[in-house]
Amino acid sequence: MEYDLPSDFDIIVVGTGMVESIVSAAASRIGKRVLHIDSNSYYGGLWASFNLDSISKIPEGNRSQPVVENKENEIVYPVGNDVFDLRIHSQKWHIPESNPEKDVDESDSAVAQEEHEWTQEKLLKISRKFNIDLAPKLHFAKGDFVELLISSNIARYSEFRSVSRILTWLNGSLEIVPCSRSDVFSSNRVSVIEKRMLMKLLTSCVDGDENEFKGYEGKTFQSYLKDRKLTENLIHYVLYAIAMCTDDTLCLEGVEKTKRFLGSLGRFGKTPFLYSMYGSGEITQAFCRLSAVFGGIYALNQSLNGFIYDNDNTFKGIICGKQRINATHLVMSLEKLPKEIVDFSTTEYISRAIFITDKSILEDEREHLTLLLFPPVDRKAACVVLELGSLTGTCPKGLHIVHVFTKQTVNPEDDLKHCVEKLFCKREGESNSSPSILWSFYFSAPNTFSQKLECEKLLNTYVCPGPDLDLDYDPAIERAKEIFERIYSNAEFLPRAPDPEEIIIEGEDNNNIINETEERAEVPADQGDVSSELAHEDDT
Amino acid sequence: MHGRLKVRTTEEQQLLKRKEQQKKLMAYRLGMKQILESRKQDTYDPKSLAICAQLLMVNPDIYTLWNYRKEVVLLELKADNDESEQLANFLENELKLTEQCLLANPKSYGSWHHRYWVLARHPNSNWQNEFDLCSKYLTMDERNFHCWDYRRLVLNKIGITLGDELKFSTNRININFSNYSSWHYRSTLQALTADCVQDELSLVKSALFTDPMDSSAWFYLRWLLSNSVVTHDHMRDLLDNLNQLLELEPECKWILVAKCWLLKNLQMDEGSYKTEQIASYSKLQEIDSMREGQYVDYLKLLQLD
Repeated sequence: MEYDLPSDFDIIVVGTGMVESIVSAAASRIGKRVLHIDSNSYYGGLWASFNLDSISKIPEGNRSQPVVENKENEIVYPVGNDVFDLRIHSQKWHIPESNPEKDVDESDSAVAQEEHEWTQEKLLKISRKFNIDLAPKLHFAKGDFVELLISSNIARYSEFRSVSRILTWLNGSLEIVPCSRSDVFSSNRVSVIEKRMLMKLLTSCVDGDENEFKGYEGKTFQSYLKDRKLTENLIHYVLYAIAMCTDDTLCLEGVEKTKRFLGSLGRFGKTPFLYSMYGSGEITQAFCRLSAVFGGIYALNQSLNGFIYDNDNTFKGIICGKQRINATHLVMSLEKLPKEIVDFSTTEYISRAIFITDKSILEDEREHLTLLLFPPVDRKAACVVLELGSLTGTCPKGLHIVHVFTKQTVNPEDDLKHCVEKLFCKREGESNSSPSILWSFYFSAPNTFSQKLECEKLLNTYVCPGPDLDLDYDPAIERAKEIFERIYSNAEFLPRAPDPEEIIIEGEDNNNIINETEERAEVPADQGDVSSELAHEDDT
Repeated sequence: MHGRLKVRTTEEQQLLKRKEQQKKLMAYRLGMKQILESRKQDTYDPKSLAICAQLLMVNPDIYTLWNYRKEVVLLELKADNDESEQLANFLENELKLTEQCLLANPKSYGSWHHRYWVLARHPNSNWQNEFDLCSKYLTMDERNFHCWDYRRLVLNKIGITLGDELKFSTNRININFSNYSSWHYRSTLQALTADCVQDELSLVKSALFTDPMDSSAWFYLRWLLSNSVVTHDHMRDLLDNLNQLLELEPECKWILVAKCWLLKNLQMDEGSYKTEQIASYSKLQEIDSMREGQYVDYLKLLQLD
């Protein structure tokens, strides 16, 4: 290393994943000295977004590990473990590497057609137009995440696009789920009576008093919907798409989930969901930016050579390159935890697939940002499908990125096969209306949220879980808040950050304002009446 | 402490804000004075006109200022008989000003009127462009009745494509059917024919069933029923639908009110339905007590028959 970092901090955060970044921002915001470092050269860890070229190079596993060193009065643990890494199943191209030499005599139309044929070479040339999420997330427009962005004023660092339609798979085809009042009105898939039944049910889930669900405490949500005499179609829409439940979900849980969905309707756009422009990886960086604005120090691409503890297992510092950096607290992502003290192993995985496709799964006049909630079938768990177009800034025009994921039971390919087969062309060059897959990436990611992540062996050390199956960041925020409150029990969690106009730039004399307002007192008092003329009244 | 942000307190911010407001107020009073004086002298100077534009951009609802501008426009038109480029530029500037003003207040009567007034006197007014602007505007805010009115005026100039306009109205209703303007627009577009009456009834029924508490669709239904092409078959069908809806929503006053409209129409030559009407009005008396007297009167009328 050419230069040294400062060597004393209040808190060191290792890893730039979602939970770590929130904790970092929150600590920096209340004036703590924060060092936030990552051994990767990019932000986000398992929550990052990559371009097409770099995603083919993401490291699958951890490098060789040195052993624990026992020095006088201190123990140095090596950094990282391989328990919580991504497991890459396959990454494949389904298009030719490059176009065969063009025949000069070819007619113009043939050449024009040729231009529409994608090749690996063509896609890699525009590799930077892709932002491929390892952990794609949506945001409930009135959910904890959006509210946190607003209350903390972090929203100024991010841009969003609303999901424009929600689909389900019903009776062998894709169908738009009527979820808002205007959808229900304009849907020609449901009769007028069904319209009323659906609206009535949705309102009673939101406004219904306790009596509404009396007697359903131990029963399923499905049985409640059946008792409300909803038709099969409506039950499907509500159960699998709006509430995102299974046949076994209990009634009250189903009601809660329906509320979460409906509560976010009508705030931005037609559906309850937002997606972060340029990829979900942007979000961790927005929190990092806030942390840096308030003085947090950032260093990526650091070689982390050890965590230092004293003999009582209290955190003392880290070894970064050859430098020793001391701090009171250590917050780190799960995959950075020393192998020697990993006493939890992961049993749950998320099966994920990412595709680049040549058209939408359901073509329309305009480009959509689509969420497909593929219902559970034949003992296969429900799958979430998120289709992103070029308007999200995650892929070039004319192409789509499709994320498909579900809870893992076997392996990514087998878990998602039934859904993928229905949506995309099976073979290359097969001409039918479904989109073709140009590139595919199957991998498993550990789902560590259900684990209890207390690190009792090491004191002043806090462990952050990786991405989970929740559509939004709610569990991550909750975990970050928990960690922050354990470290700084009396401090406010991410209070509103000031806008630029509220910040006094050095050299600007704050007293000026006071002086000039004293002059103002000389202005005749009757002017107050006229000022109301300048105010606009809205004649709605 | 080094590196900490200094932040203005709320009091400081309020002081700053108040100070700015005072500044604006001074400028406003000064400007008004200048304009009124120069108007009195029955001439205009470009300086006053510029000040007038600035004031309107802040508050487009001062009619006096718009009138002053109109006087100036008339002077310009009179002075310039050969429709020169200079005049065109002058009028274009007026149009640009109204755009600015509508950004400040999209529901300013004065701005909408001034725009139409200027265009009507423009030697080569581009009405097609106005029409496209209307479509764009209503895509962003489908409930601005000023813009719906303006669209009707513009259509008078360029001629109407009935099918397109109906489709446009349907699209706006699909976005949000709590839209008096768009329902009303439909009713001005067409004389209802036997061919389209069924489609209109289906559309309005969708709205009624989706949200029977929303009054806008009920008013459109009332207009439909006032039309002679709606047959008794249509009405009996509709009556069945309303009874179904009433079973689901027995406390909704609009269903009963509409039922009474229907029953009254049907009664005229069939003489029946009287008891149903009495039942409906009695129920209305109970659930819509604010209009109790009205229902009592209707009941009296029924008893007289």
